Amino acid sequence: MTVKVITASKSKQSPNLRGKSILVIDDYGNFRVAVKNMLTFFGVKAIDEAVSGEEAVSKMSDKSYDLVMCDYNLGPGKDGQQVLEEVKYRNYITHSTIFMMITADNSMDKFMGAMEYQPDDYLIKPFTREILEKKVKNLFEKKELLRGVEKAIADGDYERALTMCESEILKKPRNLADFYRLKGEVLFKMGNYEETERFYASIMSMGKLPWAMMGSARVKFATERYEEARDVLEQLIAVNNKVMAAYDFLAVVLKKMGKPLDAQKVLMGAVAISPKEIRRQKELGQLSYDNKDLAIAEKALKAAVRQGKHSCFKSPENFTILANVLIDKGEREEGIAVLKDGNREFHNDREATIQIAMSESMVYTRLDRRDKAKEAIDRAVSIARSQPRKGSANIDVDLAKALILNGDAETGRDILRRLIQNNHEDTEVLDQVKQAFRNLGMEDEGQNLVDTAVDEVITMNNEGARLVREGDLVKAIKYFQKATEILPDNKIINANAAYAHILYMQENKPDTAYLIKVRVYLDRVTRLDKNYKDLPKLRSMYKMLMLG
Amino acid sequence: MESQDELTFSDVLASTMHDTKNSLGMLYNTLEEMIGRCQEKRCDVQHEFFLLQYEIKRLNNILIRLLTLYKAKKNQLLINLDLHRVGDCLEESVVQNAPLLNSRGIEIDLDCPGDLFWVFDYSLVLGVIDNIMNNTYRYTRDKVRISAVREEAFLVIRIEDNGPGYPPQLLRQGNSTIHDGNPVSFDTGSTGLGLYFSCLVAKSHNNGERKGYFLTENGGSLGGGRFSLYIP
Repeated sequence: MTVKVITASKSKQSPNLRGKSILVIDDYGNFRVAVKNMLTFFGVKAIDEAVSGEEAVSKMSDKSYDLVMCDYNLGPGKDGQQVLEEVKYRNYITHSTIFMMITADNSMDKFMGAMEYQPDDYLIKPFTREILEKKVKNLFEKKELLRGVEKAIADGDYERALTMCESEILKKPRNLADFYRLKGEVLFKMGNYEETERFYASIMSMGKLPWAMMGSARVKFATERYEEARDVLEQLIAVNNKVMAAYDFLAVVLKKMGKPLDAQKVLMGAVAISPKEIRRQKELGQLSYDNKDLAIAEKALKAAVRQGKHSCFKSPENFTILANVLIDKGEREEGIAVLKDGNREFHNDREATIQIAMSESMVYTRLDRRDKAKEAIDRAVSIARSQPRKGSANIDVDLAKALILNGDAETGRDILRRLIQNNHEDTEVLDQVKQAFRNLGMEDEGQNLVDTAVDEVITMNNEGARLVREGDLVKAIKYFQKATEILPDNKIINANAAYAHILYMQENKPDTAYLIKVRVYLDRVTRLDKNYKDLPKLRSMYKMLMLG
Repeated sequence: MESQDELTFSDVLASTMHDTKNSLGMLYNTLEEMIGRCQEKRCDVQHEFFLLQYEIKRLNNILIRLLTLYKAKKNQLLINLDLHRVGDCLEESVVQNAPLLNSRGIEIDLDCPGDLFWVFDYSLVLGVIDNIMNNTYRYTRDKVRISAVREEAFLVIRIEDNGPGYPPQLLRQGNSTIHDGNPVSFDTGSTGLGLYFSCLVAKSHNNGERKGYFLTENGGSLGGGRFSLYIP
């Protein structure tokens, strides 16, 4: 192909951008105006703006965008990376949205964190209209090509995904590398480790591509060749010491090899380079606490606490482990103060506040202050009963176990009954409950509790579903509103409640109060199971109603 | 801010860069709009506007290079390898530089097979090409040719012009290593930092035994300067 470029391309129109909706995020007003002008020039009509990371996240939760252009540096509050992580983590954007990170220099793209939280592309300031147009067009073209394979992977149809990758690779599209990368992932998911390894080896003969080296390490790890996995990861870090995902994986490998001290050293190296990743700081805190390295544990956990303020990955364990670290160091008052801070930081989070209260109770028991310990455990029970579950079931099981062991079996059973009914189809949760009873030597009682509790819920859900099927939507809405009050944490009941409200509004008209309810139901489902099968469909129906 | 309590020099540098580049970006984009309006009205200061834009672009390249070189000095030069379509990288540079070069009546010729893929660091290589392309604005007569081919185990990216060519002190042919040492030569007026940067980028690309390098020669297909970047 020979292209002769004689004059600058003056594309007065770019038809494939016209109908797109775009969100521009920057705290610098002039810059937003400049970008908006460029986009308007391409004929884009639907341009929204956000001045902060918080505003951006909230906009993306309400509306689907085809393209998000986000400056990395957003002043105080969330930065661009935290915005990206949060909207992906909460499923506010799917793989069909293009996320472009705008940066001031070309060093950002050298940082490679977790694969799932990487932007589609980087754009370096300043850029011209022509560059923006070219990049955006390429990205849309690329997304379009990947759509089929990504869907096949999401459907779990790996055979089809593999066939599609192979036929695209033969065509040598612009984003050939993406298809190679996906092919590796699909082969790995199919469990065909020998072929996966041969594939990565052939890619690495072209050069030391970080994703291929990571993939190769993953195969070696899966086939329990830990030393080989370690060698590959160490080589990768030697080529590019900013591939942060390699450090995290190397730490996992070293722990598996029974070398927790080495794993700690690796993570210490990683946080020195990239101190803002709080999940890594947390892992380092936990690991060094286990290694009895209190100074490092304290430093890492304090960093995790401090940086967690703006991140969706903040965690109560940062506070509870830190409290234990401080008490081990003999700093009792400071340790207790940390738990109080945690309580404040998570005041809206049921599981976190229960966990912190339980931890407080244990801390006071350690310090031999029985009255304070009792006060804390009572607080945990009261939170568990009065608020809907949002996070892990472990907390409820742990709390119930602690209660049963300490002689308050009635309260413990009650908490578990509620847990079962909110998760009546979740075999993992049901098994957890049964396991807890088995550990307590009460296997039959556990089985019995699970069976009766599950029956009650199924009857309730079937009744509501019947009303929807028969088209009695007014009654169905009333019924599900009540059901969600009884079982606020049951994802199926919440999803059905959202569905009934949506159907009602589709037949009548959107209603603000009902839209808010639907939003609450869907947020609950997201929190309970962000991969719930009907969630994308329900979300898009909700977004359609919001537009209408 | 980062977790370290004290501000390091690299933090200061990065944040100053951010501010400066925001301002440069505004200047650049405002100028672009002015040029657009100017073209409609065919006003006579259009050429000066392009000159301003050229200088802003140069400043911006210098800043990016400065930061990259600073980081390279502190650490190794980081490279992020992936498999790219070579044409994409060349096209991006052409799109970037065409308005400026065309304003001086310079014709750009791009020649690259559409199915040529190679493993390299996209933004570093683009930085090198961009820098050379930007220079041709000053040095070529009226033609620039940018091309890529595979020559045995190397990808070769060439930028040729029909200007007077490189001065002898900037020529780098065969195995000479003049840019490996002290890159700055103040008595010639040219700092050669751009070529030093090219050298760093070329050297950071290596595949097994083979190392990247570049050549600066005179002659070539257009009779002027010829820059060739070899990536294994």
